[in-house]
Amino acid sequence: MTSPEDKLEFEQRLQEAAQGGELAWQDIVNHYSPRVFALLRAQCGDPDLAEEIAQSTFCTIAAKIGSYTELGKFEPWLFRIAMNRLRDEMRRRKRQARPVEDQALTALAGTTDDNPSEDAPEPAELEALRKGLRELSDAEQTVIHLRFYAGLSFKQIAELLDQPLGTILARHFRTLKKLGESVGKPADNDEEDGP
Amino acid sequence: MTERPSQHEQRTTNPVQLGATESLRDVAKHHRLEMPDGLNDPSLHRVDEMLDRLAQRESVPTQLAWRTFAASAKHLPGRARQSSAWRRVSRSRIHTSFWGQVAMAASVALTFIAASWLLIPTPGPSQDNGYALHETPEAAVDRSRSAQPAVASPTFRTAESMTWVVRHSELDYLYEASGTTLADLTGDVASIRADLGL
Repeated sequence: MTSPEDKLEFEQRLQEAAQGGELAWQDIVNHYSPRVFALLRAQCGDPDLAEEIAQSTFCTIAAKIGSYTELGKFEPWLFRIAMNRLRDEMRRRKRQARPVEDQALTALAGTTDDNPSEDAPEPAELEALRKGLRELSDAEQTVIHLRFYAGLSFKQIAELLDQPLGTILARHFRTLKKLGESVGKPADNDEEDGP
Repeated sequence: MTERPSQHEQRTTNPVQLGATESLRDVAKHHRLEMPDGLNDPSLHRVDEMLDRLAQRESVPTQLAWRTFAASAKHLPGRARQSSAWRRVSRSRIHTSFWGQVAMAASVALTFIAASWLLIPTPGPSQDNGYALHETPEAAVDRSRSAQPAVASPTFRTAESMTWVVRHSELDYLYEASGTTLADLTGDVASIRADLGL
């Protein structure tokens, strides 16, 4: 598909979709639905629920896109709706989210790269990383999921979570450090927080 | 509706390109934020890469994008406008065209006839030159016959069926007189039936 990453082209697609353009809307859905799904599945660990929430999110976006004014904040808007909807659904179901990293890491550990590199993680490292991910707080996991599964920038994550950029960067740094310690190669430096 | 994507198109959207879009170090440098000294630790970058690999290996269900599109496209603003515009045009055509007006008039007439047929009671003695055979005057009812077996009487068969109403000027006296008996009625109706060849 034509990538909407180009800003002007993406704005044009949003305008077309806002006027009922199905092709433009399909491009947007093709580009973002996998990322929304990946984020939701990482958050809740339930593929079925993740797809259900993803579809609901895009229905909401489609209904409101006519009044949306593109100011470069489409992605935070989209993922915020998805996160809020998932949170509401999880509350409704009174079910605790379970980390999906177990599944993902198991899949990764059980497969071999076609072109294994010297830097390919060892199974022991993955197991340690899995353990570390389990021990993260919800806030730390959310930053990880938003960055790696939703593909958001730190600035977008800060906007979505309504927190200063420095706070997000520091949290992410702390999270990586925790995971690094879990993997068995703890950083040698002091545990100083960011600004 | 946009056509369903081909298998090739589906494969091109799966696997998904996930992963970090920027490095922590680059962002800190770009925004001139002071980060902890451990930012350049190789072990952190190692973890960062492992997480990135995990995300990039993430797969999505087959045809997820198509299902999502199919579910959401109907909510696009243009769809709603198109639908309402179609209804407006349809209403306009019905109201303005000749045959539309004829159809409207016919439907109103049919409704009126149906309502009349359902709501207006069966004509009774009080109506002009009308008399329903089943509406036998109460004084003429022989209640002792109710316990007897039904007799095949042409008059009562007609009255039970309620299929026709006799209109005849010779029966005017029936609704002018108050003491009409069933015997009077039976005899007169029998003669009328004979005249009509029934």
